Amino acid sequence: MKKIFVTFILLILALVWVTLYAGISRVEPTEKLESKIPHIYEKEDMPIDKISILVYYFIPKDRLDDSINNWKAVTDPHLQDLLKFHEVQFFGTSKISYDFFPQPIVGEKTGAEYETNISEHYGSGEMSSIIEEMTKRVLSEGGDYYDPKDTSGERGRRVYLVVFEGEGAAGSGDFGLISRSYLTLSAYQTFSSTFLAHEFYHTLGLPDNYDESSYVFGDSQQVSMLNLTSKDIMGYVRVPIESTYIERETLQKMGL
Amino acid sequence: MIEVKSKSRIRDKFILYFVVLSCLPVLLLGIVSLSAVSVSHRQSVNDLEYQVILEKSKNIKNFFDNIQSTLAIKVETLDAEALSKSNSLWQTSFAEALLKENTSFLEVSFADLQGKEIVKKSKTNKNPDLLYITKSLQFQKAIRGEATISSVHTKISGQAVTIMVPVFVEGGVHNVVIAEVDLSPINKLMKGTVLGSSGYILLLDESGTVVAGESIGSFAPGYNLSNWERVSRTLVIGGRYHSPVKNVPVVGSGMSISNINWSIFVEWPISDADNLINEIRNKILFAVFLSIIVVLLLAPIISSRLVYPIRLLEKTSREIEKGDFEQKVEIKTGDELQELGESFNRMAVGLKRLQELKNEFVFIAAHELRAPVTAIKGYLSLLLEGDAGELPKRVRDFISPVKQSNDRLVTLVSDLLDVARSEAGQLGISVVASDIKAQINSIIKEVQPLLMEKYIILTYEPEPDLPLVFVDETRFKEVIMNLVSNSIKYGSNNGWIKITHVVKNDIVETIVADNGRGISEEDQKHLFQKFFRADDVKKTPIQGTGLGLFITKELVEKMGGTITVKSSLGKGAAFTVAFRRG
Ligand SMILES: [Zn+2]
Repeated sequence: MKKIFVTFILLILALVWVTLYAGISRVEPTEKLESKIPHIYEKEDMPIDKISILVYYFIPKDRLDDSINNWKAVTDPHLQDLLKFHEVQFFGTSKISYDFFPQPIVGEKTGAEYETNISEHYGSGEMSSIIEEMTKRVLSEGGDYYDPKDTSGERGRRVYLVVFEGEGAAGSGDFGLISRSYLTLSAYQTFSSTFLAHEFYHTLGLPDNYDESSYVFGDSQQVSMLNLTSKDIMGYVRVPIESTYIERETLQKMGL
Repeated sequence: MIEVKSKSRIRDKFILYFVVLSCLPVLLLGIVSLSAVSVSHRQSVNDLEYQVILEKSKNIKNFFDNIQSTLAIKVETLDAEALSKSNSLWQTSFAEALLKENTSFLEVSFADLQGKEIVKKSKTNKNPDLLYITKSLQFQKAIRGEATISSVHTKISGQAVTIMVPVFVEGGVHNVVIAEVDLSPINKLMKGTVLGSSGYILLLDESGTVVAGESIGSFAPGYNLSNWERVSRTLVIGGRYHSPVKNVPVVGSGMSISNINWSIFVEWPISDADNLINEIRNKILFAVFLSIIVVLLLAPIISSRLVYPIRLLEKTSREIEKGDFEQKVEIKTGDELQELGESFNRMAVGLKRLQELKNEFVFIAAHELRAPVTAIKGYLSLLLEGDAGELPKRVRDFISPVKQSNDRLVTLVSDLLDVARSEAGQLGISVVASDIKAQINSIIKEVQPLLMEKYIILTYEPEPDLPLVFVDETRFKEVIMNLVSNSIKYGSNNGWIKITHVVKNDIVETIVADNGRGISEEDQKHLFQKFFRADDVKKTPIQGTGLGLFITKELVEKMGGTITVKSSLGKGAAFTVAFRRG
């Protein structure tokens, strides 16, 4: 009886083995691909898997007459373009959300005063006075535009995008600045989303793909202005946003 | 119990052999066919994947070969100096022509050796900006005469690459022609299902970025897979691994496409690839399981059938052992077992004949002995009673043991005659409704001297309305006499004997109980067998033939009654004989 029992158990084991293993191919286990979290350009400790943009409309005190009322409606489609572009470039690893600051901010200075350093596009030059004023009046407690209830920053890395009623476009630190006219003038329509995206990516630390040093070419032509060196969004802005991209090397420096 | 165990053991052995001998081949056959089917199927899956990879990589190579041959401009008629002074006219017309020639060109430009774009034509932009690409590594390779393909640009409008091809004039690089190439034709080639119902392709560029293929989760074009260990392998066919792409086990093949350094992967979810084979597999498994279940069900039945004749022989031999020679075994297997059964029956017949001869011999011997020993007994009695004159004490002392021995001989001969008669069926028994009280009372009178000898008190107080009982009076008296004389024989001095009746429905029990030496449980089993005497009794001087209780039982049963005993060693015994009431 014991032998029959043992035989029976062996038989069951053999059948289980046959069912589970005979003719079944061995499958190598999953290779762990660490999910990539993008970060600020060359700064690995600053993740940007979530970015929350707060959009302001900044009007110098002498340009209230030129200002528009529908600035949110004008800016919104360009922000939508940015979201689409960002989704494709970061293939879902980084998500952007945005909010509009409800009312326009009226600057304490004149437009001309803000535009003094217009040639310094990437850096704090042109923006320094605007950033300074906004930090004081909007972001600091006690400022006349300070909103203590604003919690949108909790949705990820906070970036400030300023639509400026004046000339210029710039990006520095957490602030990106784009001229309102770039968004509305028909001459810029094809590229305005690309402009806005370009300034936005400055806030993520991306440098310009310009060659700013003057260069003497063989035909004695000296180029001292901004030399476009790449077709990507940080070098070549005058293309529709559908046709531009972020270079592979740049994305690699953002952890992708 | 031990015999029963040995009986089932042979059946178990049959079952064991049967199961082992039938299941092992089934299992082996199952394993071999499962493995064989699986190996051949795997080979064909691998072949299919390899074909798909080869075909797709050929398509991709063709795509780029076409473009590069289109862009390979050789200007031979003009000298370099004249070309430089031509104010970029020829480049303009070339750029326009190229843009028309190949629909996947999005932009075509010419750059001079300093990296300055001199002419640019675009499908999307009428006045595209001219770039300074001096520092681009790709450009630096191009001016050294090498045609190159950039890493892939991911745009909202789709994937694109920049291809730079040097323009040779008189054997030297004169310009570089730059084309922005839309990869949607490649994407179309790679998209969708390429194998079965769910096999897909992943095309990666040299940096490990997904160029084309189905968008699966975040594994969309643009995703960088450079940290995937498989990307670095040049050729793997039919690997079976858990794919990180769809998070399912797949059969995957990968290959790097020569000269553009891209790699192409085909992954076919195993569940789909092995769909057909799984059906076959299930059928084979079903057959294996079914065979084994049938074997398991049949094994005990067949084993029992095989063992049945053996058990029958064994059972019959037990009956014969008990003395029932009439038993026959009926084995109809048509083989050696049947022959064994037949010779067994012949043996039983022979045994029966032997038994009859023996009984006849015993009967004749006892019958012939009875007359002389009875005569001896009579004359010895006469002698001892002094009918031949007063015997001298010395003679009397010699004759007394002779008389005792002769008395035992008379008893033995009479017992043997009873046994022989009983076994020959010659016991004349006629059962009638009888008053057993009178029988018992007459027995008590007869044994009075013996009782007094051992100071044993016998009590018998029957109810006056005791019913009549169906017995043969003489034989019933013999039975009770036997039991009572046993009680006296094995009782101690000053003991007691009680005879009582119990009426149960239509049965009347007569119980002879005493407080004598009692009988052990082991001895009770053999108490009614012929010539049985308990070991402890044999050691005493009490004489006996070992036939008394055997004869008693024979008599009781021949009268249609039963006899049972209740006793334990040292605590007396109670024999119960039960007969039908009259
Ligand atoms: Zn810039």
